[in-house]
Amino acid sequence: MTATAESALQEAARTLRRFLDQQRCAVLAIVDGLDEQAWHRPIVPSGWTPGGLLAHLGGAERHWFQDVVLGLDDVLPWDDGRPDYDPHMALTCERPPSEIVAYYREQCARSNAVLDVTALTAVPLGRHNGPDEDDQPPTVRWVVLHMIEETACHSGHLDIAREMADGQTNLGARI
Amino acid sequence: MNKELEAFIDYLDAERDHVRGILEGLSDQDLRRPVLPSGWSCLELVRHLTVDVERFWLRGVIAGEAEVADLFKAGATAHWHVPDGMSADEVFADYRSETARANATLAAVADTEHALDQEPNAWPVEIWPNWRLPDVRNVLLHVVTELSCHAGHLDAARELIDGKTWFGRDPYTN
Repeated sequence: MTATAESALQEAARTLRRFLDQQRCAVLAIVDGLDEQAWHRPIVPSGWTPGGLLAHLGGAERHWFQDVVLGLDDVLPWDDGRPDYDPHMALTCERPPSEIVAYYREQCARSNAVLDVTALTAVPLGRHNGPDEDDQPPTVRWVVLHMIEETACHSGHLDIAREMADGQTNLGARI
Repeated sequence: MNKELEAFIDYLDAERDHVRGILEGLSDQDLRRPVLPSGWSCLELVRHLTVDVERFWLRGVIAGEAEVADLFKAGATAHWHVPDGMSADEVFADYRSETARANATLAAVADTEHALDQEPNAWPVEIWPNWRLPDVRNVLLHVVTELSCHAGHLDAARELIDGKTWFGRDPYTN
């Protein structure tokens, strides 16, 4: 590979990671200062709460980078007393906001550590148990794009929750 | 097609389906009423996605089409309104045709090995004199995040209107 092609690849990887980080920062900015009761109060009929959504995003980071990219199946203290993931259950989490934020930040840091040593063109070592067994992410790049999209979409959900809770909008500080 | 561009188009199409799917079956009245204190309606958001997101970033910035250059004038990026006399069906038809043009534009201008590393063909300097997305990849990522975030807004708005979720599934567990 030529030096130019190599540096273009590195720049592409930096760009992708910068967007992922921006979305994570947007999520944290939207819930920053949210009243503790509002973390645990559903704002829509399906019953999800801001706390549940942030815990879910931590779980998504962990699933995609630890389980799927690395092929691990780790157990963390966080799991004690938490129900198994069930896509049909509303996302809730009764733990204090500080614990949920710490869990999310820790999972983002672990994802970053994986990305530090993994090429975007690498093929994930583990599997994603989605509706279609054969539908597996082809590359780590696909996983990063998926996390960017998933985090951005949930930041939209959180935007609405925040506005319903105390009227604040545009905290994600996107352009 | 360039694999990376193909992946971007897949993601864009999935979010566009999400936008259309979550609004399916809403009455004209519900599409046009403000749902939240900030006052936007679902139909206004679809106009915003059509004009300020799809047309602006893909045909305007990436392709640099002269035909849409009016969007680059200062203060022009706020199409959160439905023009008088435009029906909901027309708003959705325009959204669908704009997304099809966006994909065709991308296939025409961005389907070479290094196209995503190149600068976009145009930049709205009047709107952002001091800020710039340096290459096509950055622009596409910006569009993916904006579209996904707005699809999230629509998920919650729909639930607030009539309690429905997209295809009856829980949209928060994708």
